[in-house]
Amino acid sequence: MSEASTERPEGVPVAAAPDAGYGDVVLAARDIAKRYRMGSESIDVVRGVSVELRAGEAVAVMGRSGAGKSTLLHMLGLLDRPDTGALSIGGVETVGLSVGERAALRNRQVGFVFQFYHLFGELNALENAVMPLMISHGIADWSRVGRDCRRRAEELLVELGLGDRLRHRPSQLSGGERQRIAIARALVGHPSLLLCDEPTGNLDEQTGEIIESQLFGMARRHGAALVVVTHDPLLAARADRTLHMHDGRLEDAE
Amino acid sequence: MFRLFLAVRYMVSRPVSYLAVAAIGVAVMALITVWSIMNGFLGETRAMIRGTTADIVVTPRESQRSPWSRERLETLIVGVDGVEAVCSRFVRPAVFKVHGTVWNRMNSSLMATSNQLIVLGIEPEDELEVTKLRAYLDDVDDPALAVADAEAPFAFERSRILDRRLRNAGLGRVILGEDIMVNHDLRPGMALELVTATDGDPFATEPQIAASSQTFIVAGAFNTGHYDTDVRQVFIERAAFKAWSGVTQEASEVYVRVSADIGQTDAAGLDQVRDQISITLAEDGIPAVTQTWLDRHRIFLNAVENERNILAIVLGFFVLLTCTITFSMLTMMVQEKVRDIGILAAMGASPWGITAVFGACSGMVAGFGGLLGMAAGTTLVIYINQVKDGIESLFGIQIFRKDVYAFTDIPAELDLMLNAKVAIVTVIFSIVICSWPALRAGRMDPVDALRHE
Repeated sequence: MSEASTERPEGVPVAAAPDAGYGDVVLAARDIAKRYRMGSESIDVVRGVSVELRAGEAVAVMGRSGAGKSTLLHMLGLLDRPDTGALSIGGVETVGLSVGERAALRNRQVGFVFQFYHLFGELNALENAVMPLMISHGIADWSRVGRDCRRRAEELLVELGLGDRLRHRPSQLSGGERQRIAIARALVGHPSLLLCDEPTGNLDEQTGEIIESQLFGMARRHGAALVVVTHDPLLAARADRTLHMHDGRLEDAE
Repeated sequence: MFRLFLAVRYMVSRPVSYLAVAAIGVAVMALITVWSIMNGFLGETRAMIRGTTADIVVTPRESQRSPWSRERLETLIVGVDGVEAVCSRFVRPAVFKVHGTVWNRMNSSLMATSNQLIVLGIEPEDELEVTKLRAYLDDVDDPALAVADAEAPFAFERSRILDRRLRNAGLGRVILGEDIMVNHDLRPGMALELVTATDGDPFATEPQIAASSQTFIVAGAFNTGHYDTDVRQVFIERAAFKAWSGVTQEASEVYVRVSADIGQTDAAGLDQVRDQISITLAEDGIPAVTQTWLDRHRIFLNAVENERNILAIVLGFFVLLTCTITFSMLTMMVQEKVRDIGILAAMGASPWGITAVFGACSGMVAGFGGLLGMAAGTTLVIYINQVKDGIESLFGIQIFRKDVYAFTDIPAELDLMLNAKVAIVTVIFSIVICSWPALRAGRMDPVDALRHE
């Protein structure tokens, strides 16, 4: 993974993901950039970032507030479109995709974990966790595969230690438990890419450590590439590589 | 799958959804009930008018140049294609008093009004062929008031005349509307006196109007179900009518029955027969006004129909107004669920999928509201009179006066297809006006939605 600097020869990635011990390339961004306009002013939030990630690899992205970390994460997760550059996920070029095609690709390939969990208050733990699979299946399909999908979500929740909390609503659970539901939800669809935005930012230190450990362990076991945006150096230290984002550019720390 | 699942959960967890369902339900119920009652009024009114008159009524005028006879008139009319039977009637206003009572004691405006009658002079055999008199004789509520023999309604044994002194007086018989008999406590065999006016030379300088009074024996009652008719109309035999009124005409009106396939439903066919009768009579030089039953009551029927349509429009607006409750509810929901919209997008829900979640919410509210309203409206229409009776006995008030509406019960005509249409239109309208907040949800930028606080 690397930053695409302006000095880099055109078409050559600054630093590809290390081959040893990892799977196929699941994410490849080349020269992606994002500019926001605020009235007459325009701000370059992300400037020509190139990045490559392989299955099973864990990368931490650090940087000051406003450095463009979250914007980068949103672009890598297909929630936002880069103004320039190319981005492929799971071998699919995303630049020319329609909104619907991007949503479908996101559903198949990407899992998100957010700082504030973002669970549905009306649903219980199991229903929250199975939601991505509900999105990918229609009603007719669901009658056929629904049972398997629920079993898959249940297994993940049990694996995360929530076996006795399956029918609990988020309001009945602690912050750590909620975040574990969010992790199960992110992994339930077998994504190749797991994107986490400050996943322990809302938890106490002890719970945060447990969640970090489970997050990294689960991502590795499920073969997903992991990108964690964080301010916490201890969390970043668990990653295989740490990238620093500064003024819209990525700098490889190792 | 998620669209319906999430929509159900959103709806179930929000009390305002139930309120919106109830509001739409009440509006749809009100529309269905009012429409059904107004249709009932219209249908009953048509049926009553239809029953108390004939398919076509010919009113001949006196003519010095070409005097006509009843036989000639009837023969000409029967000869027209489509005409099945005719009967002639005399019509004369009258007042009455019950024999043996004192006239002066009835000298109040109320009694004076209730003693005014329309007396019809008929030939019973012809009348039974053309009008529904036979059915009305059978429909009398109180069997003690019914005529002895519906086939010969004026036949009444002398021995049953209550005042023995009148048994051998050779008095004519009279058949009254059941409400007249009930209001005046009359029974078959009682006598009543009918008074009408006779006139003499129209060009004389002295007043020519004179009272003509005769005593008649009550043979029994008829019941059309139309209060105004049953409290006002009296039948006496044609010969007795002539003797009583001194009428010189051959007939006041000729009632015409056309063939069943034309008479019941085909207004255009009826018009055609009417026109043919007019032409036939004109060709023979008989001046007459020929009208179908619809012609004679068109203004009244149109007024009832207009009233129904106006009420439906007003209540339609009420339904639309309640649909805006769904709109407000959905707008608030989208505002509250911005983060959910963001996370749905992050999980791969398409904009149309997100729109569908909220569209399904409005569809469910409108659907359940429409169904509830349809079921409640249909039930209310079926049991409208039981509900009316319950309310009247519970609160001690009269909410439906038969003397005002001319019906003994609230008429209501259930049209399930129409009810279904009302519910479907409500659902469609609700979904259409709620498409704006639902589309807004689908078009929301997922990044903005996730950052929403």
